[in-house]
Amino acid sequence: MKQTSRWRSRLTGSMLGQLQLATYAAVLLGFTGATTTGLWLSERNQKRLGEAELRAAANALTRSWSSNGQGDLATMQAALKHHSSRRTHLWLEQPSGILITPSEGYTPIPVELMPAAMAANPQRRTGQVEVIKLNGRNYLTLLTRQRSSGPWLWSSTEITSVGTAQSEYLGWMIVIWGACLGAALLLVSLLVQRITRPLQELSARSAELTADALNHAGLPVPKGPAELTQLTRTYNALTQRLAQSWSQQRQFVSAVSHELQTPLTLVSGSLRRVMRKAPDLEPTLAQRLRDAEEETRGMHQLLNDLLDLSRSDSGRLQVKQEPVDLRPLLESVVRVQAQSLDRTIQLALPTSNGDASEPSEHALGDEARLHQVLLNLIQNAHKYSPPELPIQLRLIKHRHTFILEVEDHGIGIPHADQAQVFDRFHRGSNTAGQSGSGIGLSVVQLLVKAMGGNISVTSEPGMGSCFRIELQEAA
Amino acid sequence: MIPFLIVVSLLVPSNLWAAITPHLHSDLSMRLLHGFSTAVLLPPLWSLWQQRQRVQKLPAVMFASFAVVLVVVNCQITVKGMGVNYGWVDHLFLAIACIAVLGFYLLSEPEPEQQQEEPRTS
Repeated sequence: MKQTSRWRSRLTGSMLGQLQLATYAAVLLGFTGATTTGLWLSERNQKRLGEAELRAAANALTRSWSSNGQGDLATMQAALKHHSSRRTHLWLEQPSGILITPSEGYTPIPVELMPAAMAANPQRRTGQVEVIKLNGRNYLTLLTRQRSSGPWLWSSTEITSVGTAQSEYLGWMIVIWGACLGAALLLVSLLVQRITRPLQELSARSAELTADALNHAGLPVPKGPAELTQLTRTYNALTQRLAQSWSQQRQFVSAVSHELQTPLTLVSGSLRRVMRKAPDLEPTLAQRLRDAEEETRGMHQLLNDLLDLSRSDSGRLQVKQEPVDLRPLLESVVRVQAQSLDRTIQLALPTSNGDASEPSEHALGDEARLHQVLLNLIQNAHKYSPPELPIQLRLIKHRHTFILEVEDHGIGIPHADQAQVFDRFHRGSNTAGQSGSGIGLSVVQLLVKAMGGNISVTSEPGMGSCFRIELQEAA
Repeated sequence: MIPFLIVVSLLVPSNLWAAITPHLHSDLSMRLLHGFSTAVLLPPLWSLWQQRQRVQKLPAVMFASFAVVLVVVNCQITVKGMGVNYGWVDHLFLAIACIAVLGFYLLSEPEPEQQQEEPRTS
């Protein structure tokens, strides 16, 4: 089945294949029509000319007999000889079956010609023309009769040379056709390549088009068919409109995030102050205030993420690359988050002997941003895993890199979603019951890459996920 | 497959020439032409049999019976050699059969491919 699809797609699945097929069909059709018509006309003319020659000879003979009478056998043989030529032979067949041939001295009639000619017309139909092939030579024969009771006059002429000419014609036609077909296919291939090159370029550029590259996505307008020029212009106009729209959207997100940050900070601060200054609040009211404060913290985080994305899109994201001591950072993150989230977070660090000469655990990065990344991953793990199961945070030294792993035993990520897990606004298909915007992990990836590191994920649905950050060791 | 289709397409003019100029070809070339023209009818007959559940019945039956008759007749001609009455009609039918073979392969619906289950992405 695959083989069937392959030849079909090669012939009809592309513009080049279809045009090559059409060219082949057109050239073959023209060639077939031309050669067939040429051969048919040549065949017809050959028969007509030969028949005319034979009739002329037969008529001349019968005219001489009608004016002078047939005479005796010798006279008839002489008359037959007189009207025969090197190519044309005449002989008589009497009603009794006796054959009278021209007298000796001229080109003799081939021995097998007479029986073959008479066998080709056994009904003795007068005026019938036949083509006979004898010993590689072709003959045209004609039967005439002057009177219904008189002898039959057979005439024959050789037409081998016409057949040879036809063969030569056919041979030349095949050679010319082959050359024309080759040239036509080559020309079509070149033309199609010229036409499809801008289309392929357009397709490739469209495939790798990203929001960041919209400003530089324009294509040079090709000098070619008007349709292609128009298509390229339309594509360029489209990318320009998209770039403009994308820029406006970015500005809008940035402005809104900035505008919302101040009131949100006020609300958050007020809530904290109320909780601190009113310790005797009813438990339900205090719980509601804590919930509200937690929600404002989440909104704050979301606004920060949006601002980071906006800064990154506009090239204003500032991330340092300086040595960061990972051990105290991780200990601090685990301590604060375990308390804040009220769950077990296990930290595994490389064993230390307390030796001063031991290499330190300094990675290249931005401490505040790395802190943000770890918080994001831990909160993510907290959100999608049962509270009784611990979250594991590991630091591993591997050659000249540090590997930070955040592992949970939660719902995991479906295999189909794992490739897009760091895409902006993408959420896993199994997270329908959880709130979220789908930008947290994209910000994490953005920050890790800005620090010169790399992030990956391994996950098994229903078993949990493990996010793995690689950072370069500080020199 | 493409070389096969090219051979079939070349048999169309060859059979037309043979129909027009019966005295131009030798016995051997005539046998070869009949043999080749018969052989190219066998793969479409086999494909037709394999796709008998999917093809349109009327054109398939017409083409199949036409092709089967031509295969039988031309096998005999290939064995017997020259001297068949109305041989030009046979060449004409062979040319038509070759065009039908081309049409069968190029115009028939491709076999449906098994749909792959696409991964869910949302």
